[in-house]
Amino acid sequence: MAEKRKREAPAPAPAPAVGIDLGTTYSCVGVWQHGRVEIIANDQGNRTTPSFVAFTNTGRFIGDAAKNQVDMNPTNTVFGAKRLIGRKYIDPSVQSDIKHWPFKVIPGLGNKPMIVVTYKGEEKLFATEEISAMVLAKMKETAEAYLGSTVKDAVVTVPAYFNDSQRQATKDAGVIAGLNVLRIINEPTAASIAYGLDTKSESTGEKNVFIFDLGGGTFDVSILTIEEGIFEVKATAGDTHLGGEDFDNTMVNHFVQEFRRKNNMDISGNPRALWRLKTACERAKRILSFSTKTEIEIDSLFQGIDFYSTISRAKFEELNKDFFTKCMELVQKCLNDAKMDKSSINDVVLVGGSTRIPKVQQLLQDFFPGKDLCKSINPDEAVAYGAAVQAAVLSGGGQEKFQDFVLVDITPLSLSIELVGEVASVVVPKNTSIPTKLGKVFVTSKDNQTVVRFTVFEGESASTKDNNLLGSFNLSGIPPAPKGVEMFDVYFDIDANGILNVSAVHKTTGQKNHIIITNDRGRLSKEEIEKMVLAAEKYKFEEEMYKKKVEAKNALEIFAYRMKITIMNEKITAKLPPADKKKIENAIELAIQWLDGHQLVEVDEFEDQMEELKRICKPIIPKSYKGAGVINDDALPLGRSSSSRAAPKIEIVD
Amino acid sequence: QALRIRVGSRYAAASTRATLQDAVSVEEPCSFYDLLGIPETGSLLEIKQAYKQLARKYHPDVSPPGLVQEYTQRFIRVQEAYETLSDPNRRALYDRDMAKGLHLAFSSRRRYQNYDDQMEEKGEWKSR
Repeated sequence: MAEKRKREAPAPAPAPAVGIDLGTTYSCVGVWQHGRVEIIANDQGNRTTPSFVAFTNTGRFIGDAAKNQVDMNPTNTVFGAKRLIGRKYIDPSVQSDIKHWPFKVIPGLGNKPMIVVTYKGEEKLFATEEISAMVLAKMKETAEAYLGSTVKDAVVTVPAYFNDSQRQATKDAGVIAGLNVLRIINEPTAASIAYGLDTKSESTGEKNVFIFDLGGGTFDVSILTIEEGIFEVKATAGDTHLGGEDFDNTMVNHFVQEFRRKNNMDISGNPRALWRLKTACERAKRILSFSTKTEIEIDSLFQGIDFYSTISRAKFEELNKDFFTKCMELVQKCLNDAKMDKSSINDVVLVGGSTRIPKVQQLLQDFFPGKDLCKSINPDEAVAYGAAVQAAVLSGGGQEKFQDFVLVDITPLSLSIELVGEVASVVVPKNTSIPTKLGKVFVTSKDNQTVVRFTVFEGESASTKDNNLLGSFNLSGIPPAPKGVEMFDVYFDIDANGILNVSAVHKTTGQKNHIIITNDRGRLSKEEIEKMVLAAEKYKFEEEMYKKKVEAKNALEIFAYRMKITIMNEKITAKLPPADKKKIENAIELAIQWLDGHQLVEVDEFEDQMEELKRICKPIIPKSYKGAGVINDDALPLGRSSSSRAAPKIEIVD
Repeated sequence: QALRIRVGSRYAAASTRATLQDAVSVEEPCSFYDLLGIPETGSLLEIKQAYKQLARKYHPDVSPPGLVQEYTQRFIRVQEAYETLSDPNRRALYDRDMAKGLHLAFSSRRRYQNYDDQMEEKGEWKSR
């Protein structure tokens, strides 16, 4: 893998479209290449990347580098952005999440949650879309490093139960990251593709598949019928705020109380202590998936007090009982919606890291007696795998292979028009296959009404005030008449991309108006997105500059110490006049001292130092290296990025 | 606030599906059976197979560039035919209408779709 990443790209062929699973806690990227999906490892060699972004005095870090430094920098490390995206600050779920997060979230324009961090000594505000864009950009870079060319097109996944605002905001994040989002697809559907292709060879006839996707932050269930490359989604249900994070949080609350009982002290106001406790809880949760009991040990958790405790699997299950019950209720709801009996399900597929929890598996096993839970697909990678396949289909990248591949997805939420009294009149019921076109007739509600307002909502409540507003438009010039006389045909068109177009036609005059639902009040404007794209490019540039500085500094440091060792080698220095030797020794010592005093200066200052040191050290540079061009710093081990071996990138986290 | 006039509807039962006038290619109205290319006696298996074949052909994701709209329209009608005929209740209702000479193809989705909830919906309207 690393070998491939370093290999020079041959012709600048356009990179294939990639599939990105943008997760609450982890993200994953895959690409269809050479007839199969490759899940791409990041620069740390990991196949999933933490959805973390950290801001420090020196720069910005994304992924593993960000997660690894939370301990030291909890208030400026942002994670879980997926729990904020497309939501309003006043949402109860946002309010409860904020309580658990060490970083600050404030209400912005239009009640959009804004994340506050200190970056290079300055206070900065970021929209959720920008943070998600940084994670997406990291995934894009990971793919680019592997493919050796610029990635433009991507399929990005979202929980099936995400509403329109959350989907649009995710799409905006893609734009800010410099991606052309071919399509936003549903996570369980993507996972089903991974499953469907995995079992293609052995399957005959139609199969009803139940996808149970419990991840870090969201929960989805979907029922699909799969046969010979046709994936029909029958029903979907879920909770966009239920996942591993919540299980960690209940444990954290439990131990905060225990700490209070034992020490009469409240740690809940201390972000660093909470983070350390959360990390320990997450680890304990993982251990409890294969062990029945584990310990929590945190030295000097709060005011010098060590915290030691134990937790059993039974206790963990008890703490999260309500969440598990909720999961099973949604399983039943999905079956009801699909009008299927559980006995007609052929396979139950587990997706998402939290499906490793024994209790979850046991509840599912009890619910579907006699059925094997399918664990053959990788629960952490299945979603990105399916997204990569869909990316290839949509970009025509793998046409021969995918001739028979068709995915028919559904709308997860009902779409309606508002009637008098905030009543939602459903035009497109939930779980309708897309693309679709459905219509309904509406009439005026007042005498002599000349203007009619059509307001479009999404959601299952009979009252529009509990649903999500998508947009509205007016139809004017209606001839005055008693109420209920003038009639309108209203059509909802949804294309395969899930874009909704609502149109209304006055029956007698033929007056028409329509709205394409792409913009609602909570969404970023075009100008804002453009601004954020520029800001993202600026951050990226700064980051590259920072990286170059670090590389230049490392190169100089390594060279200097190398020379220091060389000059001590008597075999090499034997023929050297003592004065020259002294001169070289001095130069090396000076360079090392200079390095100590100049942590991160401009790249050319490091390079100037390097040139000078090289010039002086020339007599002792080994001949064998001369042939390889040691003067050209490319060949120095751990020097510039083009060394022959995949040099580990050195990231120094402040 | 004068603009906040809302639309009322007493016509839930009359709600209608998109008519053919919107379709890119105007075609003879034909029955769901004609559309799927199966006899009226066709089995569930035949219905499913016909649908899958047509879905592979007309799904907009696999359509040739430039024909996306037309294929989308086609696909929507195939999907409707399939959903109606693959549900025994909806199919029975559709067959009954056909026997009565009511040719409701593509203008009746909600009628068949909401087979189960029709009574419920009527009640809802009455109470308002």
